Amino acid sequence: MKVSRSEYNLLFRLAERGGSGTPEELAKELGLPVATIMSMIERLAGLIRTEEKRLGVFRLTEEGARYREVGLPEIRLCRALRAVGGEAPLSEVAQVAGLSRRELGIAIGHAKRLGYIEVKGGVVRLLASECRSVLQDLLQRFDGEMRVEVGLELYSLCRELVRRGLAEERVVKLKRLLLTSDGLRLLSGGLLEIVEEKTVLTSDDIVSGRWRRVKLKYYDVSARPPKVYPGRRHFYSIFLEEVRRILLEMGFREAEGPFVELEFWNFDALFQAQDHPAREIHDSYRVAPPNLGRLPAGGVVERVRRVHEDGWTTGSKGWGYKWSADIARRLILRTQTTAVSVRYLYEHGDEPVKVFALSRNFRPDVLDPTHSMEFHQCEGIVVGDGLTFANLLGFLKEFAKRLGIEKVRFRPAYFPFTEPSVEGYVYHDRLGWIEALPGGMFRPEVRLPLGVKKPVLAWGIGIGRLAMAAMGIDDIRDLFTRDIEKIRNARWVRIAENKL
Amino acid sequence: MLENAKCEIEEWEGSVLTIEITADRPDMFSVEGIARALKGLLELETGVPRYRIGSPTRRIIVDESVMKVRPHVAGFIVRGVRFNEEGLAHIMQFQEKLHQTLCRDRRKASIGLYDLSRIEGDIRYFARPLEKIRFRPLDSEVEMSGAEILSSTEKGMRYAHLVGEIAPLLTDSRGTVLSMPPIINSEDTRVTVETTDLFIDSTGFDYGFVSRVAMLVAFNLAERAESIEPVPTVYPDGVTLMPDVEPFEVEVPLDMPASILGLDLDLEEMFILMERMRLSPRLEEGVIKVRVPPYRLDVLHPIDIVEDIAIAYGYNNIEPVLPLLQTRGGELPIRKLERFLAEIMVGLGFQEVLNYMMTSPAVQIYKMRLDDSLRARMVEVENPLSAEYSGLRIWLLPGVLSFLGHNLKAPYPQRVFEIGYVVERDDRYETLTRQESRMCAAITQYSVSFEEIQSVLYALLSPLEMEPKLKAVSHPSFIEGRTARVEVEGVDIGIIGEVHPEVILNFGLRNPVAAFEISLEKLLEIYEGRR
Repeated sequence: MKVSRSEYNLLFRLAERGGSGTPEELAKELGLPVATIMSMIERLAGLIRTEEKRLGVFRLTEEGARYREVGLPEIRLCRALRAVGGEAPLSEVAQVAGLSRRELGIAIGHAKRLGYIEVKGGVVRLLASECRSVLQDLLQRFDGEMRVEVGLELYSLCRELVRRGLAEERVVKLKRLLLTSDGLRLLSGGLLEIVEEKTVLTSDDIVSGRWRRVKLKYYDVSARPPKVYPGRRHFYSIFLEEVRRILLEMGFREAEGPFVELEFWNFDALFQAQDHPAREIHDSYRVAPPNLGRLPAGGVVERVRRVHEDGWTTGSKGWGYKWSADIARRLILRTQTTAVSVRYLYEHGDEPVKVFALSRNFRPDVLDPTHSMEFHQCEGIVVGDGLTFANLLGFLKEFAKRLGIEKVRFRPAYFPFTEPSVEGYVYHDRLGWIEALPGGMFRPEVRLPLGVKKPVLAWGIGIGRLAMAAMGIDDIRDLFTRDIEKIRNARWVRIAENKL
Repeated sequence: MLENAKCEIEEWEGSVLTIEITADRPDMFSVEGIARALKGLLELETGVPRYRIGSPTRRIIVDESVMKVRPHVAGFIVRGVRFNEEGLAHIMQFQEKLHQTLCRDRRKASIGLYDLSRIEGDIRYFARPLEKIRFRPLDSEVEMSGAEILSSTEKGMRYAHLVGEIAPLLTDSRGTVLSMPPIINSEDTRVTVETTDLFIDSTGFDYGFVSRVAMLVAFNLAERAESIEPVPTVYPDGVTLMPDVEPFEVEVPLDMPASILGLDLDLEEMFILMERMRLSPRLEEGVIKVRVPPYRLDVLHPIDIVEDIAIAYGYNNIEPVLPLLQTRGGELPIRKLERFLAEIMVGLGFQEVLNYMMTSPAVQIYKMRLDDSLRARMVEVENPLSAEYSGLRIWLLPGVLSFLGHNLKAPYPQRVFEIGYVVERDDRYETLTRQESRMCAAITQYSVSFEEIQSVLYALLSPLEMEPKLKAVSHPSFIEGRTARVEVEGVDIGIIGEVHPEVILNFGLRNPVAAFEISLEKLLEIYEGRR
C-alpha cells in the first residue's frame, strides 16, 4: 500500500504510543495542524479507526470546595455526636458541629439515609460506630477539574455531587485514534510504500507522468475560501433593466429627451399655466444664464399660446391670461419625463404607438431619507384610435402585474395635463397601500396643439419608489449609495416572482 | 366616499379629519364645499345647487387713484348667515387656503370678509399714501398708520412686499375703513358670531379672476345662508362689471363620455351620474347641454365633465381592459450598446456604480485640477439648495473618484465602472446644451499601472472590431507621460491615464488610480457609420 511520508509518520507514531492517541496529541507530536491529521485519517481508514468517548468534566462549586476543607455536613454531625457522647438534643449538636440551620437539615437527611443516626423527640442518637462517606473521599480527590468517562461508576458518584450542588459538569467529546490490527500488520511487516507528496499539481507533473508516482496532498475541502468579489451590475440598474424588459415585451418603444429643457416642453405644451406653482423657483431648477433657449419653429408655439389664452379651437376655455414666450423659452432641468412624451408626440403626430421613457428628472429638494433632487420616472404613452380610460386602467394594472403587484386600486387625481386623471395605489406587504401609478388621458389642450387627434393614454411612474419597495430600501439615498460594500453584497431581487 | 371624490384622507384622529384636496377643486377647500359635493354623491341633493340670488343693493366705486396700484375689485353680499365659533373658524380657514393656493399667497388676489351691518352705503375703493392711512387693524387695540401696519403687525410684515408707497383702501360711504388690501382688514368691520350679513371683496389685477375668487367664497357661504347677491363694480371710466352668478353651460357630445371612458352608459345613467356631481344636464339638438355651477373653476372643457361622470361612476367600478394594440417595441440603439459593454465590464470583474448627475464645480472642475475657464461648459442652476448639488456633470470620472473616496475601508482592489449621461453647454442646440452617454472605468489598489487599464479598454472595444489608437497628451487630471487621448477610426472618443496624485489626494484617496472615460454615443456613431 502506498502512503505519503506524513501518513507513514502518523501510523508509526501511533504504534509507538501503544496504538492510541488523540488527534491533538498526535498533531503536536508530528508538528502538523489537527485538520491535516483528520484528513489523513479519512485516507487511512482501515489502518486507523477512531473512537469517540464522552467525558464529564467536573469542577467543584464554592460549596463543594468548602466541604472538601471542613467536611460534609452529615460527617460533621456524626463527629459532633460522638464528641458529646452519642446523644444530644438537635440544637446542641448543631452548635457543637458548627452547622447552620440549612446545613443541619442537609446533615440529618443524609445521615438518616445512611443509617448513621436516628432522631426522636428532638434528640439525635448516633447508631454507627464509624461514619465514612464515599462522597467525602471523592471530594478529597478533587484538584481543579476531574475528567471521568461517561458510564463509569465514578461518573455516577460525580453526578451525585452535581445533584447536591457541590460540583458542575460539562460534557466533552474525546476522539481517540486507534491503530487497527491491519494497520499494525502492514506497518510491522514493512508492507507500506512511502511515496512523494505534493501540494501543487503542475503541468510538468501531468505531462511527464510524475503524477502517477506522487501523492497529491489532501485538502480540507470544508474550509472557507478567501473572499472574491465578482463584477456586477448595480442593483438599481438591474431593477431598471427589468422594467425596461417588461415595457419592451408589452410592445413599447423607447424615447429619450434633453435633461436641460425649455419650459415650453416641460410645462407650456403640457397646458400648465405660466403661474402654476410647479413652475415656481422652489419646484423647478432654473438654469443659470445664459438660460433662454430657442422655441420650435412652425405653428406649435402659436397654438400653445392660444390654447393657454382662450383654448384655441380645442373647445376649451383656456386659462384666460396673457401667455409669454419669454417664460416658455426659459431653460430648466427637466422636472418630469412627460416632456419627453410631449416632444415625441410633436415629432410623430398621430401615428399609433406605445412609447416609454425611463430616465432621470430633477426637482429642488434637499437630499434626505425621503427626498432626492434627482429621481427616475417611468413614463409611458399609448396613442391609438378608440383608446379609453378603461384601457388606461388596463395598462396600469398590467404593468403592475408584470412587476409582481396583484392588488391595485384607483382613485381620482388631478394633473394639469390629463383628464380624466387617476392615481393607482398598489399594495405592499410591509408598507400597505402606496401611491405608485399616476396617469391619465392627455387633455385635448395638450394633444391638439401638438397635432395629435387620437386619444393618448399617459402615465409617469416614480419608479424609484417602486424599486425601494421591491428591494426593501427605506432610505432613498441608498439607490445611489456610495458604499461599495452595499453594492457588492446586494441581494438578488427577482421582480415579478418576488411580490412587491 | 371622500377618497373617491378628489379628497385624500391624511389623518383621522378622534373627531378631526385632515383631508388633502386636489388643487383643481378650490371650491372644496371648505367643509361647506365638501358637504355640497358629498350631498350629491349620496343623492341627498343633486344637480346644480339652487341658492337665492338677490338683486344688487350696493356698489363698489373704484377711484382713478387705485388703477395703477391694484386696479380690480369684486364684491358679494351674503345675507342670513348662521355662524357659531366653529363655522367662523371654517370660513377663515377657507379664506386662508384660497390665499395660499389659488391666490398664490395673495399675489394674484386677496380676499376680505366684513360685517355688512357696519358698512354704510356704497363701498369706495381708492389708493392713499401709506402715511395718510389710519385705522385699527384686525386684532389691534389701537389705530395705526399704513406704514406702522406694514412694520409692526404680523400680516403687515409678511405681505409688505406686495404694496408700495401708495396702498389701496376700501371704505364705506362715511369713510370707515374696511381693509387695506392685500394686507389686513379693519377691526371696525370684523365678522363675529353675531354677524348675519357679510360683505366679501376680492382685489387684484384681473376682474375675471378676482370676481371668481369672491364668487367661490360667496357660493360656499351660501350653503349656510339665506341668499347671496353680487355687488357691481363701477370703474372710473363708467364701465360697470358684476360677478357671474349663473351656471355656465358646457356642450358634451352624446357619445363622448362612453367613448372616452370605455363604458357602456345609457343617457339616463349618464344624467344621474352628472346630477350626483352637482351638474344639471339636458338633451338638446343631439348634444348634452350641461349646466355647471359657476364655482366649478376646473371645468374648462367637455372632457372635465367626462371625468366627473367617471368619478360618480366610481373608478374602481370601471373594468380595466388591456386593448389589443399591436405595436413594435424597441429600445434606443444606445441602450443596446450600453448593455453590451456593461456585460463585458462585468466579465472583466468591474463593479457597476451609479452617481447623481447633479454635482458641483468643486468636484467637476477644481478637485480635478481643471482650469476655471472650463466651468463655463457646465450647466449650473440658479437656485441650488446645496453647494454639493448645484449643476450637472460634464464628465463621469470625478463622480467615480468621489465614490472611491468613500470606500477607503472596503477591500481592495476596487474595479468600478459607470455608464451615464453627461451634459455640456453647446449653443448649437435649442436647449443650449448637448448630452451624451459615456462610460468611465477605474482601477485602484496599492499599485496600478497604465497598462492594466489599457488592457481593459482594448478588451472592451475588440468585440466591436475597433482598435483604439492612443496618442500621448497632457491633461491636468492625469500624470504627465501616462495620459492619452483615445482615438477610434480617426475620431476622438475619450481619455485614458493614471490619475494625478494631487487629484487622488483631493478626493481623500491614498492608492493610485488608473482610469478611462469614453463617449458611447461616438462609439455608436462609428459603429453605425460602418454599416
